[in-house]
Amino acid sequence: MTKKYKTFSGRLTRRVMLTVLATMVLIAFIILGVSFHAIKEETEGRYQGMMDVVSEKLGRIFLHEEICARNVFDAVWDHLDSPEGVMQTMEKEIKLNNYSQGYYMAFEPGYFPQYPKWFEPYMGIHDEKAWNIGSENHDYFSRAWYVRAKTEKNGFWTDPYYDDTVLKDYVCSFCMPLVDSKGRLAGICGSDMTLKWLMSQLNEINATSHNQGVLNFDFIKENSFHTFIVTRKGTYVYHPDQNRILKDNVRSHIDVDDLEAVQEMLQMKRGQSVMTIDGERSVVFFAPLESANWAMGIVVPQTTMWIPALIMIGVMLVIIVIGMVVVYLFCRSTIRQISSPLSALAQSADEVAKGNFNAPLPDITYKDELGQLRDSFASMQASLSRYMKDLEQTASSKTAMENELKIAYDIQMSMIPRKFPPYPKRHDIDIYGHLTPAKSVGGDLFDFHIRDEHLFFCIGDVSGKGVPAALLMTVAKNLFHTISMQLNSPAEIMSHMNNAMSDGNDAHMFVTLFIGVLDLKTGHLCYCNGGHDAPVIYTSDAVFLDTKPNILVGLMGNMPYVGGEMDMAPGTTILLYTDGLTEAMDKGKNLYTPERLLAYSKELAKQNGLQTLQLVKCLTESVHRFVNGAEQSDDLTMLAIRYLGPDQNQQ
Amino acid sequence: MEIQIQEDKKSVVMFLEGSLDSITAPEAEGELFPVMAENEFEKITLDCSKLNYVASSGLRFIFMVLKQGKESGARVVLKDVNKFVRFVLDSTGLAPMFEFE
Repeated sequence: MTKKYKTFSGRLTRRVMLTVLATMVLIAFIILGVSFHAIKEETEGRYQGMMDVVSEKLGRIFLHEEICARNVFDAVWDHLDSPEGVMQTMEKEIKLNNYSQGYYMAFEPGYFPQYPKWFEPYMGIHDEKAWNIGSENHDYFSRAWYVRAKTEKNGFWTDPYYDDTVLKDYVCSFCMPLVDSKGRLAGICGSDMTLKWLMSQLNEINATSHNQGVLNFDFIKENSFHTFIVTRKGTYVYHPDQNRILKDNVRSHIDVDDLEAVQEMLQMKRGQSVMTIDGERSVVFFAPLESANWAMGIVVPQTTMWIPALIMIGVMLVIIVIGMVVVYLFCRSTIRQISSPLSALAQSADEVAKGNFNAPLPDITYKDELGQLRDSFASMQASLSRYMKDLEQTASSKTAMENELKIAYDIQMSMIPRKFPPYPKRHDIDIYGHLTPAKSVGGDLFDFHIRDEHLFFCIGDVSGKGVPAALLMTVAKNLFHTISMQLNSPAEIMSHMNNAMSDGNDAHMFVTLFIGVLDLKTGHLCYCNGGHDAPVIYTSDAVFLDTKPNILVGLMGNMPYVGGEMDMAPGTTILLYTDGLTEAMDKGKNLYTPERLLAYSKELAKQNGLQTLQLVKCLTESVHRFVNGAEQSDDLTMLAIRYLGPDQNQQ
Repeated sequence: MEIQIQEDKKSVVMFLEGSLDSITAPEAEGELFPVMAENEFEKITLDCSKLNYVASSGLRFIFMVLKQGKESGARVVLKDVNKFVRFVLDSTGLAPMFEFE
């Protein structure tokens, strides 16, 4: 089952994009926040600035009017001697001061004796001559402006009112009392200015201001702001809808909930407020027009305010989206390109894992971590390859060695008699032999056969280990068998064997050998020892057989071999063994030694009538107890032969 | 195994240590025989004072030194052999062939 892996470049791309997205959104927020704030301030400033401009212009207009009016009134004051003088002065002056629509002088009743009641000369801007507008129909004494002017020494501007007398329009008038040189109130002089004219002056500002601003799009112009001017009482002095002028009160166009905001405006304060005006939710910027005691307002529907904001957000979003696409494309190509070697490396690793140690590695030439990884991988690959080769060699040589050992073992085992008792029908002899091979074949052998009522037996230990030892053992056994079929004397047999084996023996291999010939009728034993360990004789006691050690067999030809003789009483056992017994080692590298063998043998001899099988078994166990788990380094070989006395039944 | 050649280049002493078995005997062979081939020694001494154990491969080595020495007319002397080694040499019938010191 293969794991489904996500791509490294995909993971990195996702991370990078998330980070970039988060950063961009954060930056966008900051920019938008700052921008909105800036725009808000700018907008406020702009509208307030516009209103300041209007206010200033209005102020200048009023001032100008006032100055002109005062000039006229001063001139009139100089000529207060006669009504004609007044009228002429007025005619003259108006030509110099044509800012106003008209000037008038409303005299107190009876100031001039000619006019006991109404005398109000008027000079309009287009008039040729001044004329009296005072009459019954125009009883000006009770008019609000007249009454108020008497008390306003410095003059004042009236609220707009409808002039039904001359101009038949909405006007504002500048009035002031005229006191003659004798301190007598002559009357009230005034200057008229139509609202129409006033607003035409202001409209210029309005028109140009439409085009000012940060964002100049057509649809904004359509939904754009409008301005209005109201008196302190809230009466419209100016509004794009002309029908409202001096008729409607601004309060009636504003939602009940928002009326508080309007109060601020009418209290001649400066500021802005959100309100529903004319049914539209808007921001109203307001400022006082001090010169006229009016308030000006600029109504900006909220939608108009929002639109720039929405546009900015839209632009930001587009930038972010474009940015993300760019980042994604970059990540996809660049990161993928840089990290593609990783998956190629993984593939190579899989190849190596399958056993192909020479799998090619991807070409990575960067000098960074990827290059490092590749180089490390290459050296690991080389190591693995070497290691595998070494392992193969070791394994094959181990196998070869094990094979050799098996062959040697097989050869050895097939040479040794394994059937015991070998002569079940005979009652004159009890034979038991056993070979416990060591791990690596030690080359021990024993053999026996009966010919002419004589038991020919031998035990031997070949020099060296392994197959060479096994082969020599084979040669020795065959030689013994063949020669002992012909010759009867152990010494002679051994001499012949020695000559045969030392001939052509350049390897200088040899075998230690003990040969015995037992006369089964008499128990007489002839023997010859060729460099082998002296056997143990068990009667009621145990002793080493006193043998003359001849030179071991196979080394040098034509050597003398001298044998020995003894008589075996019935019940005597002769134990033949190799040095695997006496040189058995425990873990402390102590040897079993012949002394120990003799000591234990003496004990065993006390148990009269010990069978050969039991003897061998006891001695084997004794050795095992001694070595106590140490590894067996040589073959443990024993051959026990017990003479039971002549067999009456045998011929 | 240390080999010391005497100054007059007629004698050589080889110091045998530990056990002479199927592993160490070939090593000793490889060390001594080239030296013997290069020189014409009159006396070859095997110093066995530190020799503990002799296996069949060891016996073989010693025998080969004897044979080689005899062929080049040198005496082969075994020096300071311990009880065990002496016993092995005796019981294998090799002892009469050597000089002992």
